[in-house]
Amino acid sequence: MKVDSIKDYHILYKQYDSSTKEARNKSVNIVTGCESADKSVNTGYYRGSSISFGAAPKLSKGMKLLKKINTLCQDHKVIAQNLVALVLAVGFRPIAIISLPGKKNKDDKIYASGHSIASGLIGFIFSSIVMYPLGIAAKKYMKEVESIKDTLQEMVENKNIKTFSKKELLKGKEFIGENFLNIFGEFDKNGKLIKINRKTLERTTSILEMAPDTFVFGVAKAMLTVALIPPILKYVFGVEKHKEKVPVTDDKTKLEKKSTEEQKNITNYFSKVPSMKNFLGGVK
Amino acid sequence: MKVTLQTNNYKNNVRDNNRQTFGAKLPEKSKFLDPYYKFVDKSTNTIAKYYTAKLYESPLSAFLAKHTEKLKSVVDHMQVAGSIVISGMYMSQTLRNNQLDPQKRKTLAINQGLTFIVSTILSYIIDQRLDNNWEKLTRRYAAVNLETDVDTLNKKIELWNIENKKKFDAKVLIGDIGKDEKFRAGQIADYVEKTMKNTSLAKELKGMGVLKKLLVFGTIYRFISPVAVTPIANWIGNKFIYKPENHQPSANKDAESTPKAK
Repeated sequence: MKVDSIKDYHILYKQYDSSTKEARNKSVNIVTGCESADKSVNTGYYRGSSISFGAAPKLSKGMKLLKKINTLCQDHKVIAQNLVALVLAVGFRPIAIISLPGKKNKDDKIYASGHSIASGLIGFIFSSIVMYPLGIAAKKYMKEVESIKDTLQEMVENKNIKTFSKKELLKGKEFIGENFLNIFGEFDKNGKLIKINRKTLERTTSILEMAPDTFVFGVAKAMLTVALIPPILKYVFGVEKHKEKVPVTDDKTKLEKKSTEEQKNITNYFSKVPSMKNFLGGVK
Repeated sequence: MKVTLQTNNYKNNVRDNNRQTFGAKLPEKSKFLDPYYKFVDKSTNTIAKYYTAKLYESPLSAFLAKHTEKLKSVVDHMQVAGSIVISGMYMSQTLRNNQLDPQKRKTLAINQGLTFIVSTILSYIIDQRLDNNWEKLTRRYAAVNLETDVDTLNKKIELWNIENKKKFDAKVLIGDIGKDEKFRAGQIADYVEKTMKNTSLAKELKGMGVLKKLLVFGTIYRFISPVAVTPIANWIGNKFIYKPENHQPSANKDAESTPKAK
């Protein structure tokens, strides 16, 4: 004998109200007929369940891209900076330069836009190759710092553990040394270590992360951009930069003119002097 | 209530008993690039040990930790420093350029210096003005990621700031904090970092602040000022510097006068 389950019963429960967003989000448990709390998270497959599964929210493509950009901005600041520069220098700036009015300066405009493209490309490639491994190394270093922070927090919260030394904290850490705690640690009145100063740590690490690119690599990048301009002008714009032609100055012509005039004056003068008549040649 | 006789029960349940199980192995991660990943791991470990550790524990970092307490953010100042270096390089190059007139060299160098100063001032002003709007954007981004409304977030942050202010005042009374220090109300990034342990979102919100500075300073230094200054520089040069008596025709002059193609 088989008895069908109670689920097949047509219980008189509240009709599904689809008029407002709040009513739609309030789901009804089919078995018990009770209303559950607002579960806007669990619409779909798990509708009606009272457990929240903590799944990642569904994000649009733009939000996913923004998420990646934000993590890049925080982890690898120099690469993000050069990425912004790349987009501007390769995309927007040449278009703006070439669209400026003025027909006389066409060659100059092409040269300037080639220069900007070269600088954007070189900046991005150079800094991403050099700074990416440094960023990963910094990440590893900061992981150990966070583990120290957690242990410190536990030790401070558990007031039974009163004394702890720096060496105990640094047990098993590969990278961190004692100087780190002296620089970034906050100490009690008695000289005990309470916590690590998060804000100073962030500030100094970001300065030290960005310092090589701003102060050291600028010269190398500039030299490489100057070297890269001619191929870009050739292959992107189809223009080869010719050497400047030496312009014919007016002084030379003036000299020539003057010489002929002077000669005429001289001949006229000397022709009037009687003694020179015999000296000068020509038809008499 | 329905009651059915259990005849032909076996047939109905055959499908359930002989259900095929999925016994195949799930594919593992390929081991082709393992030596490359090992090399990267080892090299970054050596870099972390001999470069970052030494750098972060050096007297330079101690100096910076002491003297940068009042700075709120650092990314904008570093970008200004970078542009100082670059514009200084360009100015020295133009002043040493023998192909130009000495008068023209001076004007070009002054031109480059002035563009740098004007663009820094502009960028700081715009950065300050955009604070509130960017904060609203970050709150919307956080609300989408946390699956709440912006209004609820705002209320929570207000309450959290009120609690913090009470603690701050209590500490001032005791004497842990000096009387000169002001209370800074926390924003969404601080709230998320201190109350929730979801570290990825806190990192992303900090990244939003960095992104704003990069965008503002980047567009002004590398896009607006060079593009806006070239026609003005040409106009000034043609009107004031080259008087019609001394005017000499020369080709490709403006290629040297374009400032700061960084």
